[in-house]
Formats: sequence, C-alpha cells, structure tokens
Amino acid sequence: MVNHPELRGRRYLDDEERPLSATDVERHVEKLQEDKNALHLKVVANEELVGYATVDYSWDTLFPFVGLVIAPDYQRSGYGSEAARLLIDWAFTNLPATAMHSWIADWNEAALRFSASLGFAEAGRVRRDGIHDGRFSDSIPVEILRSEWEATRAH
Amino acid sequence: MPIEGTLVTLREERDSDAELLAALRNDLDTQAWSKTLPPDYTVPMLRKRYEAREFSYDPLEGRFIVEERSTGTAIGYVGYSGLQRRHSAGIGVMLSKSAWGKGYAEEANELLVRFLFVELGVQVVHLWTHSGNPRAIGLAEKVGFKVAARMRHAVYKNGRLLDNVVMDQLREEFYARHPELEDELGNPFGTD
Repeated sequence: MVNHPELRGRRYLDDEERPLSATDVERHVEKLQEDKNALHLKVVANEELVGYATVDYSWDTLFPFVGLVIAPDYQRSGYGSEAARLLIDWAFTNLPATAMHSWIADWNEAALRFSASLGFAEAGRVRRDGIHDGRFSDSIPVEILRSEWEATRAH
Repeated sequence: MPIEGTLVTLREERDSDAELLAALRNDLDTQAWSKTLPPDYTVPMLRKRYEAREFSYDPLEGRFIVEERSTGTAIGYVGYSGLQRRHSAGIGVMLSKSAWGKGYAEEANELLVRFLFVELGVQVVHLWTHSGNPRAIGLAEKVGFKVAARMRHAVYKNGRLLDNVVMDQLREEFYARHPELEDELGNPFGTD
C-alpha cells in the first residue's frame, strides 16, 4: 500500500518519497509497536485493511499530531471521514490536549479540503519543507482547538 | 575550524563546556521549551552526551559553542539539527543572560545561517520558537527569517498558552541580504 504512487508524499512515514521494501515496512511497524508516546492504528473496513492512523504526543500531550492515510482504492467511500472523526474524538477524550495539529503538503489539495471539512484551520506555510515531483514543496500546518472540536460535535 | 565573526567565534564543543551547557539548559529563560523541564540536567548527563558522539562524515546535526572574541569566554550554544542534506535544517540558540543585549546572538545566528547556506548548501533554514519569546522572533527577523506559521495553544510556558511560531529563510533570501556573495548552487529544480 505504502508504495502506491498516489500515496507518495502523503504517507506520514519518515521517508516520504522513496520506494520501500517489505523489510523497510516490517522494521517501521516494529518501531511503531515500541512507541510509547503515540497511538498507531490500522483502519479496517469489512475486515479489510484500508489505511492507517496515528496520534503522536511525543512532543507534547498538550498538542498532539494526528495523521491519517487511506489506501487509494478505498478513498471516497466515507472511511476517511469516519476514521478521522474516531481518531480526533479519541485524542480529545483521552489526552489532556488543548489543540491538535497535522502537516499537509501544499500540492495535496484533497487532504487540505478534507482537513478543512473536519474543522481544521490552516496555520501558515512552511516553505521548501519537502521535495515532490521535481520541485521543492511547502508544508501547510493545520490545527484545531479543543473548543473548535467541541463546536463540531454540538451539531 | 572555528567560524570567526567580529564579536563571536563558533567552535566545536569540548568536555569543559558541560557546566555552561547545564546552566543554560536549567535556566527557564534560556531554555525555550518548558516541557523539557524540570531543570535538573546535570554536568555528567551533558558530558555523557558529549562523549557518546562519534566521528561521522555526514552528521545530521551540528553543535557549536559561542565564544566571546574579546575574552575567549564560552557564552552559549548554537546549532542545527534535522539536516536534510542540501535541502533543509532547523537551528537553535541559547546564550547566557550575561551575554544578552550585545549583538552576540544575532552574530552567532548569522554565522550559523551563513554556514548552512554557503557550506552545507541547504535551500531553506527553519527555526521554531513561541509567541512568549518576542526577543527570539525579533532576533530571527534581523537575520533574515520570516514567520511561516503560527499554531495556537501549542505551547504552555510560564502559565500561558502560547502560539508555536515556525520561521523560515530561503536560500535566495539569504543571498539577497548578501549581494557580495554569489550563489553558484541556486535551486537545482529551477523554480519552486
């Protein structure tokens, strides 16, 4: 899944662009299992693996990072929205967080629209943070405050 | 290989710097991130970190001690981390309070930024601080950084919920400040 061309640059792995071997992926999963400062989850629908999700609070439990990846074949099926909702609700319910954030590459318009639909606001533009398709790309940090999350739950 | 400025010199870290580094780490004013406290870093801890460093041709971080040129006294630390070779790096600075207000931090930052662009050939330098530290933001602006992003309620320090402030400086912005230097490397991809 992680080598699917449509996921390049949006898979929330240390190495965003390089093709990964099965061994690379195994090592990565082993590392995740050791991680005591983050929650790493599979997204499963109808008993099939459709993606993966992360809540990482190693920097600060006040301000966790959230990341969600849905395999291209399963996108636009509502899995992403439901998984994101569950993930964000879990984090604000179980962590003493005041806000949450994620990072999205500037060319990834679908993810920017998706994060806006979940109530995240863009917090700026960090220039030349990545390399994608033969150019440097910028990163857009997005954030949601606890009060904003509560407002999205009210309706 | 010390990097010489007018007011300060950046040199390699030495065993004898552990006391200064412990003092900087344990000071709520010079340590930007309260979440890394309680301030009980010990000299042996810092010495251990120093001794654990190994020789490498491609280190992804660099640590320098800032020396006052007039006296040869060590007054602080500057460094880069998270180096993506020929692409990007983040920087940080900590100076003893007795050395504040003399232009030392500004020159130390400028020397480091220059090293990153002119020797390590990066395309962008990043810097993270918070809204409770307007001195750091002003200092970074003086050496060519711009505020790139602000994330609300991201930092808690001194009883206040603060913004995380990310700043950046592009290669061409550095060279625009230095018309005396020629950029033979440029942006290998052409334009952004």
